Amino acid sequence: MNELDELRRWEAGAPPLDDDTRHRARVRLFAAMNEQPAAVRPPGRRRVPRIALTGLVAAAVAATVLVTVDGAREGQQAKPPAVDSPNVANVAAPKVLNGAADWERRHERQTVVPRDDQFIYSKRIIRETERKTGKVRTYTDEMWDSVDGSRSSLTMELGNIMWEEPLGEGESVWPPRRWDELKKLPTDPEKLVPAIVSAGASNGSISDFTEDDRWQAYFLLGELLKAPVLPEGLRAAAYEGLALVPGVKTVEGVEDSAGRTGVGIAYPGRFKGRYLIFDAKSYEFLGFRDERISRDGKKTYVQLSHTVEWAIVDKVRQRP
Amino acid sequence: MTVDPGVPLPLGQGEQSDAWSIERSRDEPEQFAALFDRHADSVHRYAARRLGPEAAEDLMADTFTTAFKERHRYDLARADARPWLFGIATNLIGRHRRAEARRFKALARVPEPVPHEEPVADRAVARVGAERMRGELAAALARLPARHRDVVLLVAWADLGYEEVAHALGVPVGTVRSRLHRARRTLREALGGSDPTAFQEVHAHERAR
Repeated sequence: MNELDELRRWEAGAPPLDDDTRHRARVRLFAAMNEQPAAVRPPGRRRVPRIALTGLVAAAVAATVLVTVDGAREGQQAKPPAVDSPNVANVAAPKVLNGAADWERRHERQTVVPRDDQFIYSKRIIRETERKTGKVRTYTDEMWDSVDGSRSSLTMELGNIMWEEPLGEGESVWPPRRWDELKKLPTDPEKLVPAIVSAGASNGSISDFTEDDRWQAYFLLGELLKAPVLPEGLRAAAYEGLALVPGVKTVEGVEDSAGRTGVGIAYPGRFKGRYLIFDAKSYEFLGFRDERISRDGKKTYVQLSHTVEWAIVDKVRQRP
Repeated sequence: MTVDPGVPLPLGQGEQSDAWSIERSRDEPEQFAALFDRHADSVHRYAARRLGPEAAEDLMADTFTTAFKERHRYDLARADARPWLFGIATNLIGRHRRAEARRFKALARVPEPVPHEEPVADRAVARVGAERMRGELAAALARLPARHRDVVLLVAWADLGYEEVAHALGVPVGTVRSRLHRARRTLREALGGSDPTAFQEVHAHERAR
């Protein structure tokens, strides 16, 4: 008898790795990526589709990796005049978000439905402020996203040209671009949020959400809202869904990329410095705020962005 | 949603070496997920066999988050990251020495023999025999010095070679050989006394503790 072989044959009461456990561990790994400022590279605002991860959560969190804030550094540096230093408030998130949903419903126009073989063109303005020096740079990003992912998508950001390979079998991006996939998302906010968290595997209602579920909900809904074209009612439902997520807070006095001051919607426990920005009175959605750290980890940038133009086009590089 | 968070990374990255993924992950952190997708099962299995399923989840997750944070220190000349990952896992298991020993002692307490008056199928007898043998293995593992246990379990349960174990633990290969030799001798002796009577004595001894 060989004692090593005997040992090898013995499972010692260990069950195989199940999908739930794997998923939780994977989320923790991505959370670690998210927390590590040195891991952040420029410019990286749009790596999700380019990487085309298969896992929804993986894709979602991979994007956050690239825009992490270095909270520890925050207090040690002078506040540049152009960058807000917001105070987290605990009261009005549902009011702002439900107000945003109302605004959206009042202003919603009939959507052009993109065909699978088309591209979604969008143009974003990014205003980036280096936290320490207050130096501001403004960029215009343009992207052409293949609707069904069968063709290469193009992103031009910070003067860089990046091609996204067509999606392989079983791969997907978040948010989805295909109309039939978007149409499957519930427009009832109480159903929408559980449907997108943990790829719909998170059973139960929002009130049963774990901390991981909550920050996923905040992140995934925020990414969904970046899509320029959504089926009727879905954008409003996403706002209302965000209002239901515990831990989502308002941040007063946030400036958007056009210089307008608004109110931020944040998830401070996980995403410091990342907000959706709304007009403080009308609750119209104005844009996004994110932070990123330079490749050497020494500089922190505040990024404010909003979409200025979008269209459904037939070819890459075709503009409306 | 039809996507599955557990699906491995696409784009043929499975064909790339671990070192390639780690190098890429220094600029593109999400590339590290490829390492998780490749090795989560084996690291989890190793941890679960040593610490049990409950502790294994944390240990496996901690192994990959620790590895991620230390990826800048990885020696890219090493294409296969398994020794590195199992080294991290083994270090983390080191924080649970007592729990591990308790677990092996518990595993040494196999079920009571079936009463004689009940009919027993041959297969059941064989199973009970195997369980007893494993009970003795477990008792012997519990008795091994931690450093010997690390070596023998990296060989048997992580499927590492001597040089890989040496790399995982940061010790010379000669040290690995000598620890493995002594560990195997202890295990062999334990299995050598695997007749039911001897087992009963060990069993009673363990239960009396």
